Amino acid sequence: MVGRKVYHLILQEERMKNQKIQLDEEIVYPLAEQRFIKTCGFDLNREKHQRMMKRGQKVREDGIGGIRIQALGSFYDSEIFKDGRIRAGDAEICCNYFEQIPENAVKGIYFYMLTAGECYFSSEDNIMDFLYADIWGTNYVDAGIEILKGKIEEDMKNRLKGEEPVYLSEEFGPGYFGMPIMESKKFFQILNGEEIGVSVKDSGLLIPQKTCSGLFFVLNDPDIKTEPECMRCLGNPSGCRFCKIRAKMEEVQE
Amino acid sequence: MEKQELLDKAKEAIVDADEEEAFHLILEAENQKLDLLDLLLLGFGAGNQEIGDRFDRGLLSLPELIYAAEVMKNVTNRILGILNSEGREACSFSAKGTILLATVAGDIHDIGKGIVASTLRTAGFEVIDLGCEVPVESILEEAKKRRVDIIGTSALLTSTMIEQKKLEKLLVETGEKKNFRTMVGGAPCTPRWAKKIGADGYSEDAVEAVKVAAKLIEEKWKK
Repeated sequence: MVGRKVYHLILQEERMKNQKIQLDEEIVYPLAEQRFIKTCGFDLNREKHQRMMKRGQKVREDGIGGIRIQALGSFYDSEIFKDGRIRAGDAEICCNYFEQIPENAVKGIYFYMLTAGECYFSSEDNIMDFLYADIWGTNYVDAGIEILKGKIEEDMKNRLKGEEPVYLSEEFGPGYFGMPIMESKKFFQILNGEEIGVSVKDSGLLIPQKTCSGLFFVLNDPDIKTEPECMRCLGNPSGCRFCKIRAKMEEVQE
Repeated sequence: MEKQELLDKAKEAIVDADEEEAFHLILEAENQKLDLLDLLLLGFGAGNQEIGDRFDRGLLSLPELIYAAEVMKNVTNRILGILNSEGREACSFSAKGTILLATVAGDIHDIGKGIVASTLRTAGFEVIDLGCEVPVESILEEAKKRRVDIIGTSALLTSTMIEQKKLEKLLVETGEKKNFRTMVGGAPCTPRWAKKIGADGYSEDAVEAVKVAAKLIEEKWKK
Protein backbone atom coordinates (compact mmCIF):
# COMPACT_ATOMS: atom_id res chain seq x y z
CA MET A 1 0.00 0.00 0.00
CA VAL A 2 1.34 3.46 -0.89
CA GLY A 3 0.92 4.86 2.60
CA ARG A 4 2.95 2.10 4.23
CA LYS A 5 5.68 2.38 1.60
CA VAL A 6 6.07 6.08 2.27
CA TYR A 7 6.43 5.53 6.00
CA HIS A 8 8.97 2.75 5.51
CA LEU A 9 11.16 4.92 3.27
CA ILE A 10 11.02 7.91 5.56
CA LEU A 11 11.99 6.04 8.69
CA GLN A 12 14.85 4.21 7.02
CA GLU A 13 17.10 7.27 6.86
CA GLU A 14 20.29 6.33 8.63
CA ARG A 15 20.65 9.57 10.44
CA MET A 16 17.12 9.84 11.73
CA LYS A 17 17.06 13.21 13.39
CA ASN A 18 14.02 15.46 13.53
CA GLN A 19 12.39 13.37 10.82
CA LYS A 20 8.99 14.73 9.84
CA ILE A 21 6.32 12.08 9.49
CA GLN A 22 2.93 12.80 7.97
CA LEU A 23 0.10 10.51 8.96
CA ASP A 24 -2.89 10.51 6.64
CA GLU A 25 -6.11 11.18 8.47
CA GLU A 26 -7.84 8.57 6.33
CA ILE A 27 -5.46 5.92 7.66
CA VAL A 28 -5.70 7.06 11.28
CA TYR A 29 -9.47 7.57 11.29
CA PRO A 30 -10.66 3.92 11.58
CA LEU A 31 -8.49 3.41 14.65
CA ALA A 32 -9.49 6.79 16.09
CA GLU A 33 -13.15 5.92 15.57
CA GLN A 34 -12.79 2.59 17.39
CA ARG A 35 -11.16 4.41 20.28
CA PHE A 36 -13.84 7.12 20.21
CA ILE A 37 -16.57 4.52 20.57
CA LYS A 38 -14.71 2.84 23.43
CA THR A 39 -13.99 6.13 25.21
CA CYS A 40 -17.65 7.11 25.03
CA GLY A 41 -18.72 3.67 26.21
CA PHE A 42 -21.05 3.22 23.25
CA ASP A 43 -22.96 0.05 22.51
CA LEU A 44 -24.08 0.74 18.99
CA ASN A 45 -26.87 -1.80 19.30
CA ARG A 46 -28.62 0.70 21.56
CA GLU A 47 -30.77 3.40 19.98
CA LYS A 48 -29.58 6.05 22.45
CA HIS A 49 -25.94 5.36 21.61
CA GLN A 50 -26.72 5.36 17.89
CA ARG A 51 -28.13 8.87 18.31
CA MET A 52 -25.11 9.93 20.30
CA MET A 53 -22.70 8.44 17.76
CA LYS A 54 -24.49 10.29 14.98
CA ARG A 55 -23.94 13.54 16.87
CA GLY A 56 -20.33 12.57 17.45
CA GLN A 57 -19.82 11.90 13.75
CA LYS A 58 -21.28 15.28 12.89
CA VAL A 59 -18.87 16.98 15.27
CA ARG A 60 -16.01 15.22 13.55
CA GLU A 61 -17.27 16.17 10.08
CA ASP A 62 -17.68 19.78 11.13
CA GLY A 63 -14.27 19.87 12.77
CA ILE A 64 -12.24 17.74 10.36
CA GLY A 65 -10.69 20.78 8.73
CA GLY A 66 -8.54 21.29 11.79
CA ILE A 67 -7.34 17.70 12.12
CA ARG A 68 -3.83 17.35 10.76
CA ILE A 69 -1.77 14.55 12.19
CA GLN A 70 1.93 15.14 12.04
CA ALA A 71 4.87 13.73 13.90
CA LEU A 72 8.58 14.16 14.37
CA GLY A 73 10.98 11.36 15.19
CA SER A 74 14.63 11.06 16.13
CA PHE A 75 16.81 8.05 16.88
CA TYR A 76 19.83 8.23 19.16
CA ASP A 77 22.35 5.53 19.99
CA SER A 78 22.55 4.04 23.46
CA GLU A 79 25.53 6.19 24.41
CA ILE A 80 23.18 9.02 25.38
CA PHE A 81 21.83 6.94 28.26
CA LYS A 82 24.14 6.94 31.25
CA ASP A 83 23.67 6.85 35.01
CA GLY A 84 19.89 6.81 34.67
CA ARG A 85 19.79 9.98 32.61
CA ILE A 86 19.40 10.81 28.96
CA ARG A 87 21.78 13.39 27.55
CA ALA A 88 21.02 14.29 23.95
CA GLY A 89 22.98 17.30 22.84
CA ASP A 90 22.33 20.06 25.36
CA ALA A 91 19.22 18.40 26.72
CA GLU A 92 19.37 16.26 29.84
CA ILE A 93 16.10 14.45 30.44
CA CYS A 94 15.47 13.25 33.95
CA CYS A 95 13.04 10.74 35.33
CA ASN A 96 13.54 8.73 38.53
CA TYR A 97 12.12 5.68 36.76
CA PHE A 98 15.13 5.62 34.38
CA GLU A 99 17.42 4.50 37.20
CA GLN A 100 15.57 1.21 37.18
CA ILE A 101 16.48 0.50 33.55
CA PRO A 102 19.81 -1.36 33.24
CA GLU A 103 22.19 0.68 31.15
CA ASN A 104 23.50 -2.31 29.24
CA ALA A 105 19.97 -3.27 28.20
CA VAL A 106 19.49 -0.05 26.23
CA LYS A 107 20.39 -0.24 22.55
CA GLY A 108 18.98 3.08 21.48
CA ILE A 109 16.28 5.66 22.10
CA TYR A 110 13.54 6.99 19.84
CA PHE A 111 12.14 10.43 20.58
CA TYR A 112 8.84 11.53 19.11
CA MET A 113 6.42 14.39 19.07
CA LEU A 114 2.95 14.05 17.59
CA THR A 115 0.10 16.47 17.11
CA ALA A 116 -3.43 15.92 15.87
CA GLY A 117 -4.07 19.61 15.23
CA GLU A 118 -7.43 20.94 16.39
CA CYS A 119 -10.88 19.44 16.01
CA TYR A 120 -13.04 22.49 15.54
CA PHE A 121 -16.36 22.73 17.31
CA SER A 122 -19.25 25.17 17.26
CA SER A 123 -18.88 26.92 20.59
CA GLU A 124 -17.75 26.34 24.15
CA ASP A 125 -21.33 27.09 25.13
CA ASN A 126 -22.35 23.92 23.33
CA ILE A 127 -20.69 21.65 25.82
CA MET A 128 -21.65 18.43 24.08
CA ASP A 129 -19.89 19.41 20.86
CA PHE A 130 -16.97 20.72 22.89
CA LEU A 131 -16.67 17.38 24.68
CA TYR A 132 -16.96 15.34 21.49
CA ALA A 133 -14.32 17.46 19.77
CA ASP A 134 -12.04 16.93 22.75
CA ILE A 135 -12.60 13.18 22.69
CA TRP A 136 -11.93 13.04 18.94
CA GLY A 137 -8.72 15.01 19.40
CA THR A 138 -7.51 12.71 22.16
CA ASN A 139 -8.31 9.60 20.17
CA TYR A 140 -6.69 10.90 17.00
CA VAL A 141 -3.54 11.43 19.08
CA ASP A 142 -3.73 7.96 20.64
CA ALA A 143 -4.43 6.32 17.30
CA GLY A 144 -1.62 8.32 15.74
CA ILE A 145 0.78 7.15 18.45
CA GLU A 146 -0.26 3.55 17.89
CA ILE A 147 0.47 3.79 14.17
CA LEU A 148 3.68 5.74 14.78
CA LYS A 149 4.84 3.12 17.27
CA GLY A 150 4.29 0.44 14.62
CA LYS A 151 6.45 2.38 12.20
CA ILE A 152 9.13 2.90 14.84
CA GLU A 153 9.17 -0.84 15.56
CA GLU A 154 9.58 -1.48 11.85
CA ASP A 155 12.44 0.99 11.71
CA MET A 156 14.02 -0.51 14.82
CA LYS A 157 14.02 -4.01 13.35
CA ASN A 158 15.65 -2.78 10.17
CA ARG A 159 18.06 -0.36 11.82
CA LEU A 160 19.32 -2.89 14.37
CA LYS A 161 18.97 -6.06 12.33
CA GLY A 162 21.70 -8.64 12.53
CA GLU A 163 22.32 -7.88 16.18
CA GLU A 164 20.53 -9.43 19.13
CA PRO A 165 16.70 -9.27 19.22
CA VAL A 166 15.42 -5.90 20.38
CA TYR A 167 12.17 -4.67 21.82
CA LEU A 168 10.47 -1.34 22.26
CA SER A 169 9.80 -0.24 25.82
CA GLU A 170 6.72 1.42 27.25
CA GLU A 171 6.25 5.03 26.22
CA PHE A 172 7.89 7.50 28.52
CA GLY A 173 7.13 11.18 28.49
CA PRO A 174 6.39 14.30 30.50
CA GLY A 175 3.60 13.54 32.95
CA TYR A 176 4.13 9.76 32.77
CA PHE A 177 6.01 7.47 35.12
CA GLY A 178 6.91 10.43 37.26
CA MET A 179 8.66 12.47 34.55
CA PRO A 180 7.98 16.10 35.45
CA ILE A 181 5.74 17.89 32.98
CA MET A 182 8.33 20.65 32.62
CA GLU A 183 10.63 18.16 30.85
CA SER A 184 8.53 18.72 27.74
CA LYS A 185 10.55 21.90 27.20
CA LYS A 186 13.68 19.75 26.88
CA PHE A 187 12.05 17.68 24.15
CA PHE A 188 12.04 20.89 22.15
CA GLN A 189 15.81 20.88 22.30
CA ILE A 190 15.76 17.47 20.60
CA LEU A 191 12.81 17.85 18.24
CA ASN A 192 11.92 21.02 16.40
CA GLY A 193 8.24 21.21 17.22
CA GLU A 194 7.77 24.30 15.10
CA GLU A 195 8.09 22.12 11.99
CA ILE A 196 4.77 20.52 12.85
CA GLY A 197 3.17 23.63 14.29
CA VAL A 198 3.80 22.80 17.93
CA SER A 199 5.00 25.18 20.62
CA VAL A 200 5.54 24.83 24.36
CA LYS A 201 4.53 27.19 27.15
CA ASP A 202 6.56 27.96 30.27
CA SER A 203 4.35 25.58 32.21
CA GLY A 204 5.37 22.73 29.92
CA LEU A 205 2.01 22.71 28.18
CA LEU A 206 2.16 21.80 24.50
CA ILE A 207 0.14 23.76 21.99
CA PRO A 208 -2.05 22.62 20.21
CA GLN A 209 -3.52 20.79 23.21
CA LYS A 210 -3.82 17.51 21.35
CA THR A 211 -0.10 17.03 21.18
CA CYS A 212 2.23 14.74 23.00
CA SER A 213 5.92 14.10 23.18
CA GLY A 214 7.79 11.14 24.52
CA LEU A 215 10.37 8.46 24.00
CA PHE A 216 10.82 4.73 23.64
CA PHE A 217 13.86 2.80 24.79
CA VAL A 218 15.13 0.06 22.53
CA LEU A 219 15.87 -2.81 24.90
CA ASN A 220 17.54 -6.16 24.43
CA ASP A 221 15.32 -7.78 27.05
CA PRO A 222 11.54 -8.04 26.74
CA ASP A 223 11.18 -8.77 30.45
CA ILE A 224 12.47 -5.50 31.81
CA LYS A 225 9.50 -4.45 33.86
CA THR A 226 10.33 -2.52 36.93
CA GLU A 227 7.87 -1.32 39.48
CA PRO A 228 7.10 2.39 39.27
CA GLU A 229 7.81 4.24 42.51
CA CYS A 230 4.40 5.82 42.45
CA MET A 231 2.91 2.42 43.26
CA ARG A 232 4.15 3.09 46.75
CA CYS A 233 3.04 6.74 46.69
CA LEU A 234 1.32 7.59 49.94
CA GLY A 235 0.04 10.86 48.60
CA ASN A 236 -2.62 9.24 46.52
CA PRO A 237 -3.21 5.53 47.18
CA SER A 238 -4.92 5.10 43.86
CA GLY A 239 -2.00 6.62 41.97
CA CYS A 240 -2.19 9.74 39.87
CA ARG A 241 -4.58 9.95 36.95
CA PHE A 242 -1.77 9.64 34.45
CA CYS A 243 -0.47 6.44 35.95
CA LYS A 244 -0.52 3.68 33.35
CA ILE A 245 -0.22 1.06 36.07
CA ARG A 246 -3.42 2.34 37.66
CA ALA A 247 -5.17 2.35 34.30
CA LYS A 248 -4.12 -1.24 33.69
CA MET A 249 -5.27 -2.28 37.15
CA GLU A 250 -8.65 -0.70 36.55
CA GLU A 251 -8.85 -2.44 33.19
CA VAL A 252 -8.14 -5.80 34.84
CA GLN A 253 -10.77 -5.13 37.51
CA GLU A 254 -13.35 -4.36 34.84
CA MET B 1 -52.13 9.58 30.47
CA GLU B 2 -52.19 9.61 34.26
CA LYS B 3 -50.02 12.20 35.98
CA GLN B 4 -47.73 9.66 37.63
CA GLU B 5 -47.27 7.88 34.32
CA LEU B 6 -46.33 11.18 32.72
CA LEU B 7 -43.84 11.91 35.48
CA ASP B 8 -42.30 8.46 35.13
CA LYS B 9 -41.97 8.87 31.38
CA ALA B 10 -40.44 12.30 31.89
CA LYS B 11 -37.82 10.79 34.16
CA GLU B 12 -37.09 8.11 31.55
CA ALA B 13 -36.80 10.71 28.80
CA ILE B 14 -33.92 12.36 30.64
CA VAL B 15 -32.22 9.08 31.47
CA ASP B 16 -32.51 8.07 27.80
CA ALA B 17 -31.54 11.61 26.70
CA ASP B 18 -34.54 11.58 24.36
CA GLU B 19 -35.30 15.22 23.68
CA GLU B 20 -38.01 14.48 21.16
CA GLU B 21 -39.90 12.38 23.68
CA ALA B 22 -39.33 14.98 26.40
CA PHE B 23 -40.87 17.75 24.30
CA HIS B 24 -43.75 15.47 23.39
CA LEU B 25 -44.42 14.94 27.10
CA ILE B 26 -44.42 18.68 27.74
CA LEU B 27 -47.07 19.05 25.06
CA GLU B 28 -49.03 16.20 26.58
CA ALA B 29 -48.88 17.84 30.00
CA GLU B 30 -50.05 21.15 28.54
CA ASN B 31 -52.97 19.44 26.84
CA GLN B 32 -53.93 17.79 30.09
CA LYS B 33 -53.48 21.07 31.98
CA LEU B 34 -50.99 19.48 34.33
CA ASP B 35 -48.65 21.67 36.38
CA LEU B 36 -45.51 22.11 34.29
CA LEU B 37 -43.40 22.92 37.32
CA ASP B 38 -44.36 19.58 38.81
CA LEU B 39 -43.41 17.94 35.53
CA LEU B 40 -40.08 19.73 35.60
CA LEU B 41 -39.19 19.11 39.22
CA LEU B 42 -40.78 15.72 39.88
CA GLY B 43 -40.52 14.22 36.42
CA PHE B 44 -37.57 15.56 34.48
CA GLY B 45 -35.83 16.61 37.68
CA ALA B 46 -36.01 13.07 38.98
CA GLY B 47 -34.37 11.94 35.76
CA ASN B 48 -31.64 14.53 36.25
CA GLN B 49 -31.02 13.19 39.74
CA GLU B 50 -30.94 9.65 38.36
CA ILE B 51 -28.30 10.40 35.75
CA GLY B 52 -26.12 12.00 38.42
CA ASP B 53 -26.49 8.92 40.62
CA ARG B 54 -25.73 6.56 37.76
CA PHE B 55 -22.66 8.55 36.79
CA ASP B 56 -21.48 8.44 40.41
CA ARG B 57 -21.81 4.66 40.39
CA GLY B 58 -19.92 4.35 37.10
CA LEU B 59 -23.01 3.22 35.20
CA LEU B 60 -23.04 6.20 32.89
CA SER B 61 -20.19 7.58 30.81
CA LEU B 62 -19.30 11.26 30.76
CA PRO B 63 -20.72 11.81 27.24
CA GLU B 64 -23.97 10.19 28.37
CA LEU B 65 -24.11 12.46 31.40
CA ILE B 66 -23.53 15.59 29.33
CA TYR B 67 -25.92 14.51 26.60
CA ALA B 68 -28.68 13.96 29.14
CA ALA B 69 -27.84 17.22 30.89
CA GLU B 70 -28.19 19.01 27.58
CA VAL B 71 -31.66 17.57 27.14
CA MET B 72 -32.48 18.65 30.70
CA LYS B 73 -31.29 22.16 29.94
CA ASN B 74 -33.43 22.38 26.81
CA VAL B 75 -36.44 20.97 28.64
CA THR B 76 -35.97 23.46 31.47
CA ASN B 77 -35.72 26.36 29.02
CA ARG B 78 -38.84 25.16 27.19
CA ILE B 79 -40.93 24.88 30.35
CA LEU B 80 -39.68 28.15 31.84
CA GLY B 81 -40.38 29.82 28.52
CA ILE B 82 -43.96 28.60 28.61
CA LEU B 83 -44.41 29.63 32.22
CA ASN B 84 -42.93 33.08 31.61
CA SER B 85 -45.20 33.61 28.65
CA GLU B 86 -48.11 32.81 30.92
CA GLY B 87 -46.89 35.42 33.37
CA ARG B 88 -46.02 32.91 36.02
CA GLU B 89 -42.93 33.28 38.15
CA ALA B 90 -40.82 30.16 38.35
CA CYS B 91 -39.68 31.11 41.81
CA SER B 92 -38.23 27.65 42.48
CA PHE B 93 -35.56 28.58 39.97
CA SER B 94 -33.92 31.48 41.68
CA ALA B 95 -30.20 30.81 41.60
CA LYS B 96 -28.88 28.63 44.40
CA GLY B 97 -25.74 30.69 44.51
CA THR B 98 -23.13 32.26 42.27
CA ILE B 99 -19.92 30.53 41.34
CA LEU B 100 -16.98 31.99 39.49
CA LEU B 101 -14.87 29.51 37.55
CA ALA B 102 -11.48 29.91 35.94
CA THR B 103 -8.63 27.85 34.58
CA VAL B 104 -5.50 29.19 36.21
CA ALA B 105 -2.67 31.16 34.63
CA GLY B 106 -0.40 29.12 32.37
CA ASP B 107 -3.09 26.53 31.70
CA ILE B 108 -5.50 26.34 28.80
CA HIS B 109 -7.34 23.11 29.59
CA ASP B 110 -10.98 23.95 29.98
CA ILE B 111 -13.16 21.07 28.88
CA GLY B 112 -13.48 19.85 32.47
CA LYS B 113 -14.28 23.32 33.70
CA GLY B 114 -16.82 23.70 30.91
CA ILE B 115 -18.54 20.50 31.95
CA VAL B 116 -18.59 21.60 35.58
CA ALA B 117 -20.02 24.98 34.53
CA SER B 118 -22.73 23.32 32.48
CA THR B 119 -23.64 20.89 35.26
CA LEU B 120 -23.73 23.64 37.89
CA ARG B 121 -26.04 25.73 35.70
CA THR B 122 -28.35 22.76 35.20
CA ALA B 123 -28.39 22.36 38.97
CA GLY B 124 -29.55 25.94 39.38
CA PHE B 125 -26.36 27.84 40.11
CA GLU B 126 -25.40 31.04 38.39
CA VAL B 127 -22.00 30.49 36.84
CA ILE B 128 -19.50 33.07 35.69
CA ASP B 129 -16.78 31.50 33.58
CA LEU B 130 -13.66 33.61 33.17
CA GLY B 131 -12.05 31.22 30.72
CA CYS B 132 -8.42 30.12 30.69
CA GLU B 133 -5.05 31.44 31.75
CA VAL B 134 -6.58 33.71 34.35
CA PRO B 135 -4.16 35.25 36.87
CA VAL B 136 -5.22 35.03 40.50
CA GLU B 137 -5.43 38.82 40.79
CA SER B 138 -8.02 38.91 38.00
CA ILE B 139 -9.94 36.05 39.60
CA LEU B 140 -10.21 37.92 42.89
CA GLU B 141 -11.04 41.22 41.23
CA GLU B 142 -13.89 39.67 39.29
CA ALA B 143 -15.12 37.69 42.28
CA LYS B 144 -15.39 40.91 44.29
CA LYS B 145 -17.02 42.81 41.45
CA ARG B 146 -19.64 40.12 40.85
CA ARG B 147 -20.05 39.32 44.56
CA VAL B 148 -19.85 35.60 44.00
CA ASP B 149 -20.29 33.00 46.69
CA ILE B 150 -17.73 30.49 45.50
CA ILE B 151 -14.51 30.69 43.50
CA GLY B 152 -13.65 27.50 41.63
CA THR B 153 -10.32 26.99 39.92
CA SER B 154 -9.19 24.31 37.53
CA ALA B 155 -5.63 23.21 36.79
CA LEU B 156 -4.56 20.26 34.73
CA LEU B 157 -0.80 20.34 35.20
CA THR B 158 1.33 19.90 38.28
CA SER B 159 3.19 22.99 37.10
CA THR B 160 0.06 25.16 37.06
CA MET B 161 -1.74 23.90 40.13
CA ILE B 162 0.55 26.08 42.20
CA GLU B 163 -1.67 28.97 41.08
CA GLN B 164 -4.45 27.53 43.22
CA LYS B 165 -2.21 27.83 46.27
CA LYS B 166 -1.35 31.36 45.17
CA LEU B 167 -5.03 32.25 45.11
CA GLU B 168 -5.57 31.00 48.64
CA LYS B 169 -2.59 33.03 49.80
CA LEU B 170 -3.92 36.12 48.05
CA LEU B 171 -7.33 35.71 49.65
CA VAL B 172 -5.76 35.50 53.10
CA GLU B 173 -3.36 38.39 52.54
CA THR B 174 -6.11 40.70 51.30
CA GLY B 175 -8.51 39.68 54.04
CA GLU B 176 -10.97 38.37 51.45
CA LYS B 177 -10.95 34.72 52.52
CA LYS B 178 -13.94 35.31 54.76
CA ASN B 179 -16.02 36.51 51.80
CA PHE B 180 -15.59 33.56 49.47
CA ARG B 181 -15.60 29.81 49.59
CA THR B 182 -13.08 28.12 47.30
CA MET B 183 -13.11 24.89 45.35
CA VAL B 184 -10.38 23.24 43.33
CA GLY B 185 -10.42 20.66 40.59
CA GLY B 186 -8.38 19.20 37.77
CA ALA B 187 -6.47 16.01 37.17
CA PRO B 188 -3.50 16.58 39.52
CA CYS B 189 -5.72 17.91 42.33
CA THR B 190 -6.61 15.74 45.27
CA PRO B 191 -8.49 16.27 48.54
CA ARG B 192 -5.08 16.33 50.20
CA TRP B 193 -3.99 19.17 47.93
CA ALA B 194 -7.14 21.13 48.67
CA LYS B 195 -6.59 20.74 52.41
CA LYS B 196 -2.94 21.61 52.13
CA ILE B 197 -3.53 24.91 50.38
CA GLY B 198 -6.56 25.88 52.44
CA ALA B 199 -9.26 25.44 49.80
CA ASP B 200 -12.73 24.79 51.15
CA GLY B 201 -13.66 22.05 48.74
CA TYR B 202 -12.45 19.64 46.11
CA SER B 203 -14.38 17.73 43.48
CA GLU B 204 -13.23 14.94 41.24
CA ASP B 205 -15.96 15.44 38.67
CA ALA B 206 -18.89 17.60 37.69
CA VAL B 207 -21.48 15.67 39.67
CA GLU B 208 -19.43 15.93 42.82
CA ALA B 209 -18.86 19.64 42.09
CA VAL B 210 -22.60 20.25 42.39
CA LYS B 211 -22.73 18.52 45.77
CA VAL B 212 -19.67 20.33 47.07
CA ALA B 213 -20.97 23.70 45.84
CA ALA B 214 -24.34 23.12 47.49
CA LYS B 215 -22.64 22.22 50.75
CA LEU B 216 -20.40 25.28 50.66
CA ILE B 217 -23.36 27.57 49.97
CA GLU B 218 -25.24 26.05 52.88
CA GLU B 219 -22.25 26.56 55.15
CA LYS B 220 -21.92 30.15 53.98
CA TRP B 221 -25.57 30.95 54.65
CA LYS B 222 -25.37 29.43 58.13
CA LYS B 223 -22.58 31.83 59.02
